[in-house]
Amino acid sequence: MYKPKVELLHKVRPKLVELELQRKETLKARRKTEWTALLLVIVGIALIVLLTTYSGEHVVSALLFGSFTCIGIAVYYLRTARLKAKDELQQSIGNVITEAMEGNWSYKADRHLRPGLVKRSGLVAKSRPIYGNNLIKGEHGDTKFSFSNINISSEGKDGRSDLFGGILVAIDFNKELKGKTLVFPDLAQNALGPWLGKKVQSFGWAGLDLVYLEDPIFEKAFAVYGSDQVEARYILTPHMMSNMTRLRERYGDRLSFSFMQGTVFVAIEYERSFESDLKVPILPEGTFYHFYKSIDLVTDVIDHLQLNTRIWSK
Amino acid sequence: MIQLAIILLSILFLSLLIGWSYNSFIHRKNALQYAYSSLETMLQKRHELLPKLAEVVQTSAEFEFRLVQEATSLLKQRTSKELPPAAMVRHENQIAKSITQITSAINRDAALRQGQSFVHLQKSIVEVEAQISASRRAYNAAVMEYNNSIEMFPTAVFASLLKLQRIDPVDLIVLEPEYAVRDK
Repeated sequence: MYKPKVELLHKVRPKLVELELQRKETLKARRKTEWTALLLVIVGIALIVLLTTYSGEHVVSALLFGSFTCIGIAVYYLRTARLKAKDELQQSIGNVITEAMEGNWSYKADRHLRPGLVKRSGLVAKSRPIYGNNLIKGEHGDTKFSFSNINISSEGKDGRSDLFGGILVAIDFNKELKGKTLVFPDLAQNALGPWLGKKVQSFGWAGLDLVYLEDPIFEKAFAVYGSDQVEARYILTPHMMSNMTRLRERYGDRLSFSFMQGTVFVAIEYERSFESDLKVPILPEGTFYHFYKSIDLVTDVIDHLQLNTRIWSK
Repeated sequence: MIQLAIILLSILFLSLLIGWSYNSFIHRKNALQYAYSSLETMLQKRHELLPKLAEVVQTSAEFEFRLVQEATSLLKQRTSKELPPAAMVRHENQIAKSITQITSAINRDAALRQGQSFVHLQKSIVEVEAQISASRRAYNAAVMEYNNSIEMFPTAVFASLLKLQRIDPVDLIVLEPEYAVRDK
């Protein structure tokens, strides 16, 4: 069950303080190793300079080759160890926080939402490889959800460009649906004006038709595409539209929604869930805060959309 | 030669415009018919709730059975499918008022109100009414598109040739889920 920040912090503080001590020790040990490695490199360079004066060219070449190989191995080892320590710390912090939530909460630092699920949402391009991390599964009231960082980029002639970067949330939805309804920020009408924007949108999106809704504020904020005009209105009731408009006022043009049988997907662009760093303290406003912020954001979306309200049965 | 090319291009442009206008007009007309059929289907679901309501109240000796009889007699009159839209709306609004009267009477009877069958039925009513509301909005949106095509150039030309007229949006009563229960 989701807990407010103060209550959660009170519960996890002792364990996070232990992890903070562990982080400091790991950081200290890492710095010691790095300094030792640097010292060895300096000594090695000094030795090579000395040997250059007294030995032949072949010996110097062999020494240089050997030295650079050693440096390469050392850098690789240090980098791997650093990433491993960072991942372990991240997983430990996540475990502490999700365990404190009680119920069916879990955290996997190196996992993300299944690519099949991401593609099913229809919110992101289908034919691109999907990357991500920080998979959190949980329950808010009776509503189950899961979310993770998702990154989708395309490789072009001009290099790599991001198509989507942010959080994708999959939330249980309690209406019986047969088709698909997508809700995007209305960028076309805002950029091209209402008439031309609507004309452009009327061509549809990925085989879905434009759904023109009667709430002018919602219409100005979002563009809706659906496989069924009636079903789109069944989901987007006047109440739901005003909830979504309020969410937009709060988080801006970063939110997209996708409704289908059993699930509502919410894509929040440019929003990263937490990333730990050995150099950043866990408490009070460090890694813990970033972790809590992403959980708070997702539960806030569930509350705003009133997905916990069940006046019908699934 | 240039004059001939201009004439041919004009004819081609005019043909394309006529073709596009006609198709667009037919598309809206069909969309309107489809939306109306969906609305009728959803209203039929509401009609199917009445016998279930009758089942709920039959166990009570004190219930005002005339309310159920009135609602049933409304259903036995001409079906909504036989009526033009304006008459259909009046007929359906009478049925909606009857259902409201029955559910209000049930709510006044503590034994009936707390019965498991009524609790389930309330969920069905909420669901059906949500679907009717969505269908009504979809139909009214299709009406708006259709009326626009009748009154705006170039589709208005076909509309006047086919002597088509504006259609009024429907003002159906949708039952508010004020008596609906929540799971928790």
